[in-house]
Parts: sequence; structure tokens; C-alpha cells
Amino acid sequence: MAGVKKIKPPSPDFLETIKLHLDAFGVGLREAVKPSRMTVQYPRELRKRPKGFRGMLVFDISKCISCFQCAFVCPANAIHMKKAPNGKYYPCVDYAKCIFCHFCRDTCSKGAWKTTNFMDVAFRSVDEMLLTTEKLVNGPEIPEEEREDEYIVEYEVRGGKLVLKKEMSPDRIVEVED
Amino acid sequence: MLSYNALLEMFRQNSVGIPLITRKVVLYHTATKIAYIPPVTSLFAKIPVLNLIVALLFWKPFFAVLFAPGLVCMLIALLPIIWFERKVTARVQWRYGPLEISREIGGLIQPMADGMRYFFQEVITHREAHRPYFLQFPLLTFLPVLLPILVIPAGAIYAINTPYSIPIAIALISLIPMIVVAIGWASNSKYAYVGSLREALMYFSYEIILIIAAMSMVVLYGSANAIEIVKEQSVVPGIVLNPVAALVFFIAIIMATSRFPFEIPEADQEVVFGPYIEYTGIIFGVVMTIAYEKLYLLCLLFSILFLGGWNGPFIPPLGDLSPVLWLFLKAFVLMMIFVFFRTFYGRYRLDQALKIGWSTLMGFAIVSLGISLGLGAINIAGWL
Repeated sequence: MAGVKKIKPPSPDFLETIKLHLDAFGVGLREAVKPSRMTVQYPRELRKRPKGFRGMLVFDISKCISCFQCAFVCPANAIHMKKAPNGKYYPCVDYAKCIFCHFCRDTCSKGAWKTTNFMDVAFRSVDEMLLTTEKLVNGPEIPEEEREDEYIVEYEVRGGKLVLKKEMSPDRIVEVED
Repeated sequence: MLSYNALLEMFRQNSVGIPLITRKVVLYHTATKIAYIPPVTSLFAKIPVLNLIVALLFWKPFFAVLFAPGLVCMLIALLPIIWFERKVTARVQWRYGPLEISREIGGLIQPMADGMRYFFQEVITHREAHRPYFLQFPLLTFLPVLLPILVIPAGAIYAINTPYSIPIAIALISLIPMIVVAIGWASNSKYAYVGSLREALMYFSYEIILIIAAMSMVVLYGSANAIEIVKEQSVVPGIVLNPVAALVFFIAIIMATSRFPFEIPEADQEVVFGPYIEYTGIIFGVVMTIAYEKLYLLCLLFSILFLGGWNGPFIPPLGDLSPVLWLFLKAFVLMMIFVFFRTFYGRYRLDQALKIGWSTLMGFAIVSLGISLGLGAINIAGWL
């Protein structure tokens, strides 16, 4: 058969076997003394979110022209339009359905949708996941006493090796981005 | 029939001397007056029943089996070693291991928490099990686990001083796989059956070389009495005289206690803890520690045969406990090395383990016996 590469199983002799055992022992010792682990201890350490991260949405009501484009484009049917007292229609987002594709943000001609660098939220019930326009305007908020994060960590390539870079957590974790 | 006083006198004649607790603690000392705290042991000296109990607790044979190097020392070694095994494996595999239960000390009390959980868990006996045996055998393991302590001395603390202590200890330790196989039979389940068969096959592959390696040291020193073997090693430890026997004994211990890479009977990815699969609750806690208890016993034997046993600087306040401390420390470091193999080894197949046991290691064992016969013939232990 052309193109098939046959690989023979390794058959080390006695001395080679001992060397392989010692090598494995050395690797074990090295990692036990100085482990190159890169686990992020999640509630205490948060990964640094990249620029343009698709997180929770923030809605700017003054820019909205009620064109319904976000509701039309939403692939998960997560955006409902609700009539406000002033006669215009404004979107509500159902986070039970939202897939964080941010098509709504891309399609908005006036730039009324903004993103945040944050999506670690929890809801107590499914009903609460439907965010009305009033809640969307304010964006997600984390009370100071409920924050557990101490560090913001980031993976970095240093000399061809992946290392974990730690820095202290900022005072304000949620940042709104255009 | 001994009278009460004769019994008390017998216990007191052969009691453990620990200056730290049998000495008077002087509070202050003036020209006319001395105030001191009486030693703990003499607190109950005049009270009829308590003095017998205290004397019994400090009676050397009882102390050896129950406290040091027996049950209590075993438990003291067991809890940190289980934690260490999980922790060092996690480090090498780039995880954190047990941590959340006490972050400040790195999750050190995790085994204790697990044990407490076992205590309050329901013990389920499934319908197919041979119920009396299923519940009895785990408790019966304490017999072969604690009986070898009778003949494994630690300095002045020993129960039986016999010229056959090493063979008796090895023979009693060899009873443990019998109980494990019996546990697998009493569980009456597929996985337990496979696990106990594997245990039997592993037993078949390591037992001969373990015995030959231990006997080659007995031949080298010309005595099977552990006290004399340790006395001979006061200058040069046995591992220098016969490193081949040490290597064979070392690998045989790995096989005997089902550490990696010979963790074949308990292989949790294949047969899910093998013979112990059906156990729950505190009985599972008991059977899970069988391998570690066996590891502790064999590490005691390894340090007696090859590392000079309880030889070490004498610590005056500890008195008779000082040699026990050295023996315990040596055994504990050995246990740490043995559990460290979990971090970087895979698992051999059953036939590979059998082949290693009966070809390579058997060859080494016979070579070590030859070395010992040669060294014993020129009486090297007497020269050194």
C-alpha cells in the first residue's frame, strides 16, 4: 500500500530500558520539585479576557431607533421587542437562549449594543434569565462582597514555553467596551 | 495462675523507658523546698485497677504492637502518606490535588475527612455476597497486619526476640494476599473475581523473589534475628554490601503492595479497585488501607535488612523511643519513594509482570544469593 508508513514497536535492550526508567524518574522528580502546571483556580483567579470578548450585552437606549434588526438577525430567537411607554419598541434578551454570537451588535446600524468582558453570571431561575431593557441598560454588576477573585491570570509564550502570568485583580472587574 | 501483684511486677519489669514522660518535672527549687509535677506514669501507681492498665500499656510487647512501631505508628504514617501520594501525583500531572478542605496547609487533613465520611456512610451488603465472610474478612486482615509487629523489633522495644524473626515476619506478611483473594471470593461479583485472580497471579510472581532477596541478607549476616542483623550493620548498611538484593527486594515490594507500575489487582481504570469493588462505608476504608499497611510493614523490613534499621544518633529525652523514631523515619521516607512511582509510571500488563518476576528479577535474585554466599563465606560482616 502506497503512502502507508509502518512503525515498528520499540524494542529497547536491557541497558536502554534502564535508561528509559531513569529518564521517567527524572521527569517525575523535576515536575514534583517545580511543576509546570497552568491550572487556573477559577473563583480565585480569573482569566484575562481578550479585546473584543463576546460577553454580556449592554444596551444604550438613547441610540436605539427601534429598527428590529437585532431581533431579526438573532439566530437563537433570544431577542424580543417590547413596547415601551413612549410608543417605541426596545429589545429584551433571554439569556436562556442567547448563544453570545453578538450578531445583534454587528448588525446594529447605530451602535446601540456594547459588550462587556464578563460572562460569569448566575441566575436563580429561568424566568430571571429574561433581561428586560431596563436591566440591559445597566449591564451586569457584581457586588463587592460577592467577589472571590484575587488574581487575573494570562497565558504567555516566553522563550517558546507557555507560562502563566499573574497580576492582582482590579477594583472594577466589569468593563464596557464599544 | 499469677497473682495481681506478680502480674503488675511482670509488666513493670519489662516496661518502656521514656524519660520524657517518666521523669519528674521540677517547677521551682529553693534551699528548703522542691516543687515538682509527678511523672505521668506514677499518677496511677497506687490506684488498684488503673495501675495495671497503665503498666500493661507500657509493657514492651503490648507497646510494640499497639503503639510503636505498631498500630498507632502505622496510622500516623498512613494519613500523611495517602495525602502525599495524591498531592505529589497531582503536582507531576500539573494539577493541584486535595486543597479546598484546608487551603493553608495544602489539604493535609483530606484523608481524615475521607475517613470521617466513610464512618458515616452506609455499609451495603449486596444480595449475592457471602454475607458473613464479606463482613469478616476485612476485619481479619488486622491479624496478618499486626502479628508481624510481634517479631519486627525496634531497638529495645520488641515483643518476641526469636532467632527466626525475619522468616516469621515474611511468612505472616504473605498471609495478606490470602485474605485479599478471600475478599474477592466473598464479594461474588465479576470485577472482584477478576481482581482476586489478578492478586493471586501477582502473588505468584513476586513471592519467591521477595523471599530469596530477604534470605540472601540472612545468609550474608549469618543470622535471621533482626536485632543481630541491625547490630551487624552499625558501620556499613546492607544496601552497600548487596545492592542487587536491595534492588530485587525493592521491586518485589512494589509488586507486593500493588504500587505503580504493578498496580494490577486494583487497577481502577480496568477493574475498579478489583477485589474491593463491592465495599462501602468504613469497611471500604479498612480494605483500602490494606495495601498501605502492607507497604508499611515491608518498609520496616527493608530498613531493617538494608538501611541499618534503627541505627542513628541517640536522642536522650526519648529513651527507648529514639530507635523507634529512626526506624519510623526510614520507613516513612521509603514509603514516600514507593508512592512516588504513581506519578510517572503506566501499568504493566499481567503477563508482563509475571514475565518480569520470573525472568529478570528471578535472575537478579539468584545473583544476589550468590553474592551473599560469597560475602558470607569470607565473613565480611565480621570484618567490618
